[in-house]
Amino acid sequence: MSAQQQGNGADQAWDTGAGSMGHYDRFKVVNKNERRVDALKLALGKGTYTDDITLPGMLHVKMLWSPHAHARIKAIDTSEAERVPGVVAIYHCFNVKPIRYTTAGQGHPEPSPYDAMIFDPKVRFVGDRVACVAAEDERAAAIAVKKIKVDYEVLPAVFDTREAIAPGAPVIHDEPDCTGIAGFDPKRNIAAAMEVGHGDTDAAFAKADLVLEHWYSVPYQQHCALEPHVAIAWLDEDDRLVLRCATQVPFHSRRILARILEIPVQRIRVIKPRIGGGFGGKQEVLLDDIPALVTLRTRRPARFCYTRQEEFSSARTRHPQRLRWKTGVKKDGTLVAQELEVLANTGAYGAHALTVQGCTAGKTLPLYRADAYKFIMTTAYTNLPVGGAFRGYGGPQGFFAMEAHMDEVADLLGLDPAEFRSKNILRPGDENPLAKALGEGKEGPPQKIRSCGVQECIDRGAKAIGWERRLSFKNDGPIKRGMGMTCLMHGSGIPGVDMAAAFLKLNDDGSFNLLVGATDIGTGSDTILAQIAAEQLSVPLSKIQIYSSDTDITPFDKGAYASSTTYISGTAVQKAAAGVCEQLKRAAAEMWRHAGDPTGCELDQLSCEDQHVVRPDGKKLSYSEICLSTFYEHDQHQIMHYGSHMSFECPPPFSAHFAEVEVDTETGGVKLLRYVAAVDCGVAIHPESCEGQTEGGATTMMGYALTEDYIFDGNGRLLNDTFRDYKQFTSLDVPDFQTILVRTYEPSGPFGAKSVSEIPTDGPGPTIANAIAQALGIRFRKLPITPEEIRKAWLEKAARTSRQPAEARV
Amino acid sequence: MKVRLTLNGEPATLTCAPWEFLTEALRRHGLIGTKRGCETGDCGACSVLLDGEEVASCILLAAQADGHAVTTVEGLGGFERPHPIQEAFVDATAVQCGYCTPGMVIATQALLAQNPAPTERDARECLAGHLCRCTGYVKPIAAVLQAAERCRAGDVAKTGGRS
Amino acid sequence: MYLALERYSRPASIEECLALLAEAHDEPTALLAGGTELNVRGHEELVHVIDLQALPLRDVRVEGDLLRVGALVTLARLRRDAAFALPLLEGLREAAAGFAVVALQNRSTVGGRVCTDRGDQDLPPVLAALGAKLRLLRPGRAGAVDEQVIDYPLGAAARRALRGALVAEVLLPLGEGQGAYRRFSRTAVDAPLCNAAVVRRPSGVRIAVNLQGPRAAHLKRLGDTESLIASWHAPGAAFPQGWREAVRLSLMTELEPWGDAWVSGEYRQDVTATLVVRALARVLGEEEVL
Repeated sequence: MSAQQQGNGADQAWDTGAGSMGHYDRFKVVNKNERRVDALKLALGKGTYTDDITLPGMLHVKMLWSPHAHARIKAIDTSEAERVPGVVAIYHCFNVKPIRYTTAGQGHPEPSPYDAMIFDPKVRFVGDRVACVAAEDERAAAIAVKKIKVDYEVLPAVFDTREAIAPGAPVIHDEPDCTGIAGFDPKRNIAAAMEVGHGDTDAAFAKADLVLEHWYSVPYQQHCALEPHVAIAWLDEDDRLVLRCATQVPFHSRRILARILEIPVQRIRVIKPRIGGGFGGKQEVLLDDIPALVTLRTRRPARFCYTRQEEFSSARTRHPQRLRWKTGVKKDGTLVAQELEVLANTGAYGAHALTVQGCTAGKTLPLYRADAYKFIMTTAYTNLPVGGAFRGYGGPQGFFAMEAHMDEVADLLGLDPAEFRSKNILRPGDENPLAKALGEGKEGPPQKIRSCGVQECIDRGAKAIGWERRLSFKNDGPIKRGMGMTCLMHGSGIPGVDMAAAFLKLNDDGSFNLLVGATDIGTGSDTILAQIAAEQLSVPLSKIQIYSSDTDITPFDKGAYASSTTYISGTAVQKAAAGVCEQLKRAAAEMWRHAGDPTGCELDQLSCEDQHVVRPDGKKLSYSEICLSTFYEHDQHQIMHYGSHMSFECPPPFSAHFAEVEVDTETGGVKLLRYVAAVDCGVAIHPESCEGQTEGGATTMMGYALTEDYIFDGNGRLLNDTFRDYKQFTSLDVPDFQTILVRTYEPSGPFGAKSVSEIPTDGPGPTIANAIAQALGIRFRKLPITPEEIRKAWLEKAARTSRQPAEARV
Repeated sequence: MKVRLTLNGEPATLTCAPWEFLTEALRRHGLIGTKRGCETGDCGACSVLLDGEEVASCILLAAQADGHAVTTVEGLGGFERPHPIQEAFVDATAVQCGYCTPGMVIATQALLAQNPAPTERDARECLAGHLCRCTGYVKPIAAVLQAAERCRAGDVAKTGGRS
Repeated sequence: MYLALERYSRPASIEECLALLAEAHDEPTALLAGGTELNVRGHEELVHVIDLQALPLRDVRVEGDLLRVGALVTLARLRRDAAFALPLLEGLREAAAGFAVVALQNRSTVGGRVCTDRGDQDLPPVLAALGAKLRLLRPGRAGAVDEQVIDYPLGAAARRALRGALVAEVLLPLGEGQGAYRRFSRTAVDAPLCNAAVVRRPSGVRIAVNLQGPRAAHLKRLGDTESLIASWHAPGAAFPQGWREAVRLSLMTELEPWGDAWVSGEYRQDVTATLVVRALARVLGEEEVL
């Protein structure tokens, strides 16, 4: 595809992408499994993550965390701690300026309440910040932390969302200066609330032959990025603050730090080195401020790194929710009305409280056609760990409820779950009925579906797992087999909000430096962005030297979130590369003209092919020759271009997940036997990476379905704050896993691509729940579905059956 | 205190405190490929070979390694000559964020030294102590099997890991 | 986590080790075997560790009708060493493989598993069901070594015998028989939420379980159920029809419901009974799940 043909959809007629499939045959670099640009150094152990440097004179910081779920700090005595050898400074609410902000690493202005401070005179959960110690070594800091004496006025705490929003509950944010948007009502412990809809739900429910309504619930979940949160700060030779940070959002971090540290953005440089996984946990200005503060005060380098225990108790989590799903359906299986009510728990602070819960509706409800929709949401503060961005961003919560509910409806109607979904699922050309109402903290742009391979996902997924086998499981012993499926959609960036930029320049050997603000956190974005540049430039991937995310050096990017990098940042790269192609052609034409050989040198006659600018008569100049000429000989200039991209469109990727399980009714144990994820992510820029994203995202959520949860004692203290006690899936737990990449072409995306990173997280919860439901004939509406709950439900079912004449085996 | 050991095939002396774990001592020595993920021996990011056996260096006192041979991921291969296991992880697209990769590479080396023809089940057992939130283990399992094939073909498993 | 540790010793002989142990009154001291729990909560205040690695405690040898297993023998060796490839010791091998992390199996030792205070262990019920004994060494007078052989300690009171002692060997009575171990956990790499070990010898059946959660040990021999089984038949004969229901009934009275933050006592009791039945089925050569 040439640069001229490459629009972004704005000037094209609506095109569902169906006619664009021929592109697949023309790709040279994209849609190929190139060696990932960073993989070898990582396999060699040479990748330098944030914590892999040590600076001379670097201080180490440790934090004193609140042991109380809710308390006011009356006094802090640091005298004994200060006497620990090596201690340099101790900071807390009585010596750091109080400025309200949100730790949510979102665009400006952040659609999250300003309810946090660097140090607050009130602590709101076990694990909240109290004071930090900077010392010559980490051990001294840790010893000193234990010697800080704090006088707390312990306050009554509230841990349940329903109790939190009930009259008379302890008010968690009683400070007068906290602010928020969209239903923010801190006196009632409400961090965010909204009610939106489309059409007349009352009329639509009245039309229905069957109305079904159930409550569902989903737990806490931890990101468990293997690299903990870590940041190192220092002052450079210009006395500017440099922050090397494990972050997904370096530009947001710089902006937020400038405000709370009261120094200009210009005085801050945020460097994102190699990142060891983020999953949304690092879309948060979680600890960046602490080493920065220490460095500004002491003028020495400072490092702060979370321990794993701190990751569990004091970092961010997936918001737990209770969800009420109500559906109206005709006898023939046509959905007519959908209503969703969400009561979410954001914990002690409202980071992402509005937008995560907004996505719970925004990603789910539009997947099935209906006459009317309603969404009612309340996000409550509690004295528990804090919710935040987590891969899926509200989607997994909503899809668990919706897709479990859809199976229940299909069951009542006696329909095959796959056929029932196919009947109601949206089609290319459909408008998203809730797009306008559910923008990112403001009205969203309208959305119309173009590329949509969801039916093919259903068909190919069903074939791969052998969907028809589910009808012939014998299940006469205590071990029962079942199969379940779900349909999913997600988004590609935040429409009308997310912007990314890229800069590309040519070197004299025909290689290119690609500078992107996009933040590779392990997703492979450095590779796929380089692939997009290489494809557009017609060079091999090896000719692209990519450097990502350094606020001094690279252009802006919103950050690695909202499934935006391929779609938004990728298009920015493509635009930059298209501009460089134009310049290459101009420069080549000028070289030919200068040499007295001007035939066929009009720009529209030239093309960029295989590292050369080529004329219709076959004469060509290599990129290296052109660069050498423009550097040193004639028409001297640097061939370079940039691209910025923002999209009002947000094409959803689609997917269908299938699971086959075996349930041991004597123990309640669930064994996942097979898992199939069929994905329509548009053109897969790097197919194996898309598989990897799918497998990894789904595996994380197999834990969410079955084994991961936060266990608290009665005082809000987390009990399972180690990998030994918090159980995620291991290589021995993952089932036989098949990923199917369904081929579509998204006309508005770079080389036809949409997103792939978050959609797999939406599936395993409901897919596994549906498979268990088929195996046992028991519906579980709460995650995780633990062995104990299964065993209990099975015994209850057996007791019910045995009261009837037929015998039941326990 | 001084800890004397054979480090990646060479004699070395690490100066450590009695309370220091091997992960820290190695990293301070510039061997940053050994990662810190949990400090309780539960994630596998810090795996090294101790006399050829895989151990979690985050729960092994540096002093315990005195007199032993330690191999880190850097000891298996470098840019000029990557180990076939490292190549296999790259080619199987088993490297995503890469934080778990050195530990998995070490585990694979330990496995193949004992069992040059592992089954899929063996590969899963080999990686069971290595948590990874990125890949879902599908491609790392394939990488272990691919590494075994490559090592058998080149018979380099024995020479690659100096320990 | 940062340890207070100030002193690391590596004694070259048992005598030297016991001498170090004898002088350890003033400072918190621990014997260090594999060290897989050193950096886990509960050891922050340790000041001195005595590393046992140089001591001759790695032997595995048959002496009469005993298999003598040195305390420093690792779980990895229990899984692989030919000395343990007996039907009688099948449960021991399975328990050694229970916590499926190779790096920990390579370091974790038999002695360490015996001494740990963590409740959620795989090995103890198997050792109890095998009728294991422990050879303990203590510093005696004037540099002498006091030796003591005790039955595998069940319960907190019996465990006091381990205090101030070096567990030198685990002694396993050999002979004909079949062992089995069954565990139930949330994921494959998890401490058992429930477990059960069964050993069937010509002389009878022994059953042990850990009715524990991650925080408290409660290792138990199931004597009543063992007696019930003994009452049925001559040693080695087949169990009667319906033995599963009878055993289950007996277990439900014999097992206390021991709950914690992880699972309820009723559930642990119920699943432990199931695991005992399955382990029994295994030693009888019957289908475990009907």
